[in-house]
Amino acid sequence: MTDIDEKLRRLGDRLDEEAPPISAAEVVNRADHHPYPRQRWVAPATVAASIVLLVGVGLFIASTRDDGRSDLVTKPAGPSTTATTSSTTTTAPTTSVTSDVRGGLPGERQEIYPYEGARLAVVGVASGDGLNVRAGPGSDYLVVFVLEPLFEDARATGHNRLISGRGYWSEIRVGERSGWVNTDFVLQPGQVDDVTSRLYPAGVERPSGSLGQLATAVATRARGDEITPKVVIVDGPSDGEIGEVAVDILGVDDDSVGGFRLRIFAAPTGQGTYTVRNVEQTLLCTRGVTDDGLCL
Amino acid sequence: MASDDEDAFGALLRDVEPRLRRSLVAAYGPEAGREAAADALAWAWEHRGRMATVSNQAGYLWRVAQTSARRRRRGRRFEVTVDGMTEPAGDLPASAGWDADLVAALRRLTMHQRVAVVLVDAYGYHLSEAAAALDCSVSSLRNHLTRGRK
Repeated sequence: MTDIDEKLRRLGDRLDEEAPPISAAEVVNRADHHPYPRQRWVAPATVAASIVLLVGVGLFIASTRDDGRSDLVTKPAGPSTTATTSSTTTTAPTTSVTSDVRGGLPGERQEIYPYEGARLAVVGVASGDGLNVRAGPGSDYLVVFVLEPLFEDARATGHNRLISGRGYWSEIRVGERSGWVNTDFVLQPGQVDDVTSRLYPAGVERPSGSLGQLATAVATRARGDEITPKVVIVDGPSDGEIGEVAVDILGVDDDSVGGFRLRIFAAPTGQGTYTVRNVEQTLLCTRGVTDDGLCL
Repeated sequence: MASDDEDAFGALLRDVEPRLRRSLVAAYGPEAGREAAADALAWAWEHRGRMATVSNQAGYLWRVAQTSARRRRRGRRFEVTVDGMTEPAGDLPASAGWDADLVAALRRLTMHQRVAVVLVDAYGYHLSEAAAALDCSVSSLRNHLTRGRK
């Protein structure tokens, strides 16, 4: 055994000491007392704060033009940023929230994905924005809670409706609460892969620039020949020892793959610039996800 | 816990827990990694019916754990550093009892490279076992390992 082998073996022993085995009792206790996922949206204080912000503190809801953008909420704190690859600026809403919930549901029920139990992630919502979850299918229903751009733990109930002129809406469940979302903004997350070497094989120079520029550069390289994808920065940019930014690429020309989420990690090179270090890709699936994390 | 459920989950734990915990610890550090593993196993318990139909349970839970791990490391810095010796919170510490050079070297790897090296070279898992834990092919695992060992 070489010296490095011995060091690694000792490292393994030390890691096992620091992180001992997890017992069945610990697992069951954790599941009973802290159901997975640990959602930030279930706390009453969070819900109350969201509703106060929505209704009374000058937080605007998007206009009545229901093209899907009306389901996005522009929060007062934090700028929302979008990549320049395609035009996806958040609208400047001015209408107030309607408070009535109509009896009955509009549109027609559709036997289509997402099917009951499918795990759903919020997609295509710019960093700093949020996705409205409404009391019914349509933007004139009351907002019951809001999901952050990176939220990945909603569940489809299997009830989907096509609203004439307004697209598809799906009923979702988050913990004990349920509501409706425009399906343009939810997809099923699949496998996560480190795609750094695929995007930038040996000999290919990795891009440098600001984190926003890197987001655009990596998204452009990742989307390949896609002509009209929608590219949105959904997290960050976050400066630091390692810069981070996450980008959603949507609208790809594929029935099963709705898009990709790229999480870009970059090393600082000085004066606010970075070089791509790693890129993690999450598949975003339309119809469903196999046990292997591939899109159905 | 019903007896059948208990038996089945016990079997899952025996088979999956060590690799899952060690993979996540290698990726995110002892504290965050163990928490992510415990979260994923709690999820597996809550969804034990579905887990019974999954062929690669270790790899499936590795993916489940990523969501938890990312949530925990938000606000902390990612483990890969460029300059070497700094200690992001939740990372492999370079304090007494740790080989500082080795820890620093592991920090310079990508997550998948680091996990591959730790599983195969530190814990002695076969390539197929490590690949299953990372939910990747053996050839991908070999690539991670080769680059990590350099």
